[in-house]
Amino acid sequence: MALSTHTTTTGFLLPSIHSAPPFFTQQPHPSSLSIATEQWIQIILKYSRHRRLFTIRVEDSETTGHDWDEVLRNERINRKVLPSYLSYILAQMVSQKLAAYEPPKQDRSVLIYWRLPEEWAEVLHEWVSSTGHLNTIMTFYEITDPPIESPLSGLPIPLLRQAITILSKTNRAQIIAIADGEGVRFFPSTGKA
Amino acid sequence: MHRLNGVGLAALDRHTTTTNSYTTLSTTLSHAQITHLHAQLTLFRTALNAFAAKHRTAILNSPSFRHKFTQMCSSIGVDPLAGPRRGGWWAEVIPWVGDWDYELGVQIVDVCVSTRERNGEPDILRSVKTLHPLSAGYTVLTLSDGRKYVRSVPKELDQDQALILAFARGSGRFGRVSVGDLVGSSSATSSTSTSDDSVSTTLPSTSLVWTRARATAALENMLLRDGLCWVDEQDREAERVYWVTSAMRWD
Repeated sequence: MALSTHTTTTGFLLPSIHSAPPFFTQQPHPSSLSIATEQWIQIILKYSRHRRLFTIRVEDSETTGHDWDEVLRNERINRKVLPSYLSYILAQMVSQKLAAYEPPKQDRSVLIYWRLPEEWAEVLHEWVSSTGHLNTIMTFYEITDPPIESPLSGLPIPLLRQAITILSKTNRAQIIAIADGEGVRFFPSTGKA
Repeated sequence: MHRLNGVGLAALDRHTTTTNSYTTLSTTLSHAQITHLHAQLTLFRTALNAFAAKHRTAILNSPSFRHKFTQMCSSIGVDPLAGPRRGGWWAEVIPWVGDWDYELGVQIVDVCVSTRERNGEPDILRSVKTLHPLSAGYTVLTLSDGRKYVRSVPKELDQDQALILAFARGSGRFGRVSVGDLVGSSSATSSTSTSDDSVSTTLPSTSLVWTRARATAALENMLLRDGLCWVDEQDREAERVYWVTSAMRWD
């Protein structure tokens, strides 16, 4: 039984380490643990990018029938990531700034940065410019749920907020209070940013 | 010329006088130079001593730092092994590591480490053979299948672990080892839960019959102390199954 890669039903290519039974157990030796955890982080980031998933929870390892099934489990070898190990992996992601606990002040659920907030800020500004929304006031909802699917469709509000905050530091966006909550106005890049 | 050197016997006298004074001058100069050199050497030694004393924990504990340090020594022409006593320079600076064998080992290991990417098997074999008399733990072991490997974990990879390594490489096993496999008897025949191509994997040449305590100790050491295997706690047949990473096969 040589370990080999596997393509999931959603077309995601799992690396061969995912078919190694001990990969699903938290390793006691520090260097083995860091090797395995690093692999897990890469798989989680790539898979969330592949499926446009933004959230992973510790309990995703305990239940079935959700977005993370084909990654957190390997039915072919009858293994699954145990919750305690997944919790450790998520903590590592947070400490490496590849994810953030969301909502804050708990450690069971994280927002995954398969694009960093800085990268989202650029994507956001580019989209706003290319769709002619500069200088107009937009609601958050108009950005995350546009009539035509965009790179920002489904972006969680906390991540959108971070992106806007980053843009406002270079005077490319401004949060504005509007009748039914908050809106945002974008400005063209000045070039000197 | 004649005028300058004079003529007759007087020229000879003058010649002797000149030679003598040149000799005296040169001796004085040499003395001055040697004194200067001594002073510089003393200064340098003091600096090196201070450096070694300041960083002795790092020198002792970090192989890469020690390597850099010996590299620095050799680039400035100081051989840490040379010195007035048998213990050499190390012994003067750090008395508690003044073990000559150890120092030589350090240098040879440094050579091995710094040329790891380049040297082929013959070099490895030669280097390791050189180290053998020092009983530093570097040995070339031959597994039962003829494969050679370098034991580079001094005094940590014992004979039992070597046997487990060979066992884990056994056909159809792909690195999977449980305590039951090593204790032998019935469990040895039904040891593969996940591989289809190896229904029975009893290998007369490699199957081991150990006590449970011996098997557990060897496997746990490989897992916890040496990081030579990974543990799987979700195997149906055993609570803990050990996967020897070097014996796992990757496509």
